[in-house]
Amino acid sequence: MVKRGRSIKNSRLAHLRQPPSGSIRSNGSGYSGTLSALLSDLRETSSRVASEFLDSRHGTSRAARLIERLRTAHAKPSLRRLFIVWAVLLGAMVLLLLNLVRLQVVQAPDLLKQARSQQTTFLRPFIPRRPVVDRVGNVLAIDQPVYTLYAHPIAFKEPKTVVAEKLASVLGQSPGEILRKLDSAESGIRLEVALSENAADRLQDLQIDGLDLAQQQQRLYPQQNLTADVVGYVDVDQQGQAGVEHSHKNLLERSIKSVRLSRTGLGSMMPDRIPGGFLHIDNLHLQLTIDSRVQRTAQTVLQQQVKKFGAKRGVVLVMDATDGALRTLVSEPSYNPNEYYKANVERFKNWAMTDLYEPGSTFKPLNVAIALETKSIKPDQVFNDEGSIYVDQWPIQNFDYSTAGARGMTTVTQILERSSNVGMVHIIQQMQPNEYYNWLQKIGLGQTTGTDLPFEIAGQLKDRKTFTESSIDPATSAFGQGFSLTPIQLVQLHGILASGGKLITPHVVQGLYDDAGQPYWQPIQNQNPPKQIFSPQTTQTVLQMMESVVQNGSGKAARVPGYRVAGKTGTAQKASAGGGYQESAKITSFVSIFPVENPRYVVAAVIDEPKGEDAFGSTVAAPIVKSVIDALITLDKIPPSQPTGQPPGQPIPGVTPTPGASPTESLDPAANPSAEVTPSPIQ
Amino acid sequence: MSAALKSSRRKRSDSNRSRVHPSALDARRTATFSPIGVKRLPSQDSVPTWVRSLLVVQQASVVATFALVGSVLAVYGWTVYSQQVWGKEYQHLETLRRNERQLTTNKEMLKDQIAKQGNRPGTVLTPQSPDKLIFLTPTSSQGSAATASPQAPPTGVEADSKGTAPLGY
Repeated sequence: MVKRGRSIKNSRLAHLRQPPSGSIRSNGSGYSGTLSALLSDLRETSSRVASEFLDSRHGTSRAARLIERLRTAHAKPSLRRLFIVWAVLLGAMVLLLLNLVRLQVVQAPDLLKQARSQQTTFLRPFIPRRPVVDRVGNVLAIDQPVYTLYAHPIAFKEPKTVVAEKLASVLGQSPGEILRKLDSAESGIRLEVALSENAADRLQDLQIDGLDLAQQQQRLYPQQNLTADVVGYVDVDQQGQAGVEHSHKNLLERSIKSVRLSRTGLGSMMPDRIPGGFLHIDNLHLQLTIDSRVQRTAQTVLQQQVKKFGAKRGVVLVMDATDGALRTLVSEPSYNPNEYYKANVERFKNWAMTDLYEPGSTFKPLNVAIALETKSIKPDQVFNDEGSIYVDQWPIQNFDYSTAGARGMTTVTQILERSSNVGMVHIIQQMQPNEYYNWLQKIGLGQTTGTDLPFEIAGQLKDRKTFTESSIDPATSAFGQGFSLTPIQLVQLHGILASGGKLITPHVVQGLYDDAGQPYWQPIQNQNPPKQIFSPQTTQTVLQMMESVVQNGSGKAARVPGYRVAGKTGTAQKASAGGGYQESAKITSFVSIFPVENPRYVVAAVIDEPKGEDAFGSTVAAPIVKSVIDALITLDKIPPSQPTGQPPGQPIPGVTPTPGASPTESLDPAANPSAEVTPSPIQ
Repeated sequence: MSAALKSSRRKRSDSNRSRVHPSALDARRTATFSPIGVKRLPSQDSVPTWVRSLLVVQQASVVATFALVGSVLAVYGWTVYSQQVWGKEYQHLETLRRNERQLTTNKEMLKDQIAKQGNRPGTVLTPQSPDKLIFLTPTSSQGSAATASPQAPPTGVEADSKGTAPLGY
């Protein structure tokens, strides 16, 4: 190529250098002729150069030369070139390594943090406190998540007025009110405290920047104040503060662990880091022995009576004497545990456990049972009721002495029917004070019942020396004064009579059960056999005497036609703070056991400080007990004990409406197993 | 110049041809005309066993590689997919739990409301009372069995024992 280029150049120069002799010669002396010849020569040369240039542009000759050169080329090994290649590669590797070090070592912590924040999410699953249900499955307490809404106007991307209007529809507040709150600070404004899940969803759908929803747990008591005295409440820190919520908090609480989860780019969670058992929340619930239906009846009646007599407070207790399960525990006035913070602090204590009172005449059947058990008296023994006597110079008289005077010879049953104080003193005087004191201790006076509700206090009984030295203490104890106990202990004591002589423990917790009704945990007290205090014969005798009280005596208001109901009224003076008794303040009560032929329920109503001339156990408390018994009969489908209208007071055979059926057929489920299943109410 | 290149190429190929032909002819000549001292051509049967086993190993490893790659892709895909499915199912579970909670709560609140309405004056609801109950006493099995059994409706006991008797009427 180079050679050829040079030859072209040379030939062209040769052309130019040579004088155009021919043309000069031919034209003779004409200068213009020489110039035209030169021009035509130039044109020819340039066209040849152009054709050669075009030829070279097409590359045929040049490419061929290049191929030729490559074919003949010999690679000369060059150490320098090798070194350069090696250095370039090594340099690249070093750079890559340095970048690796930068990413993995220098920037690693920051990058790791950044990645974690983008990819992981802290999943804090909603693990509710276990629900509390009653014995038939009505939910008494359940957890639900609620949200607190915080607003940070500093992060708003829309004007406050727009945000306020959007929020107003969800929160149910006026836009002006929300705007006023939003103007109060730049960030961290609490707009709403307990927002429901649905409302929280609607808020999230609005997609407003600068809002923050914080999840919390809230304990909901759907039955409101119905079981407040049993279930209690939890405070804002989810700590049980009263009732079962407090006493069984370790059974109700479940630990909450937040789990760190990876998240995909789409935001769905990846389960690779989930600990075992994460999904499985146990489905246990705490079942109580309370029956909310009976509870509701008792509450309604109690409220009416407390209102009617202007009483300070009242309590109704129903215990199943077969195992000590409390079916009902209603206190009035009560509080709504959903809004416990609005309630008077005094109401948080359950006064059936915490307040002592002197039981009065309701204790008399127990004294009779003690006397019978110690064989100090016989059931058919008669005592002279003088109406008023002096013991240690202290006057003791019957409540109706002013009207009835001395009653003369009375049987033990009549003493109970008329609630004779003097008669009871005579019965107790048949015993040695020391022995009597032993028995009072044996039945649990001065001790707690051991119930599973919190804050129970022990009753009060004078010490043995004081009690036995003077004769007035045993005498006043004969009619239930001079010592004190809680309403729940009164129920426990009558439970001895109802259960055939066993000291059972009243309790409200049946156990932890799963959804299928299988027990997971049950209290120990259900498993220990109770202590036998009285013989079944003694208790049956006393029950028949108490039945007579309802049929013929002061407890007529508790009569339920067709059913054998035993009971005892009580109207006791209240001890005053400065010693002695208050003149006007009294505490009325009625305790009932039914059905007598197969004692099962102990129903007690205690009304504190009812007002009015006619405020007695028989007028204030007995009607409550009757209503509760009615509810128990209808709910538990208890068949009648005797046909309506049959003379009471005798051991009654079972009801036999079908002519020709055996009169000995008893409806006692124990005696006649078929009767337990088949009689069913048709309503 | 290009003409020169072409001619030189042609020359070289000619020389190659002339080199090949005589040698092939020689071989043919040896095979046909000299029966003694025959050299046998290597046949396919005489491939050594180690080569063959290596070939088998190679083929097997190719198959195994494809299978492994396939299963790796499948397992990887499954892990990714299953996690996505888990995420969706977890949200579903949360929704169900939430529905259950809300149903329970609403049911109990309704119960309370209805019970309270029942206590209001002027309501048509009346509480149950023992005098509105009717208890049916079972006839005693002794004595009455002979008279009762022919009249007893057969549906109860017999249907239970057979289990398939139609009960609807």
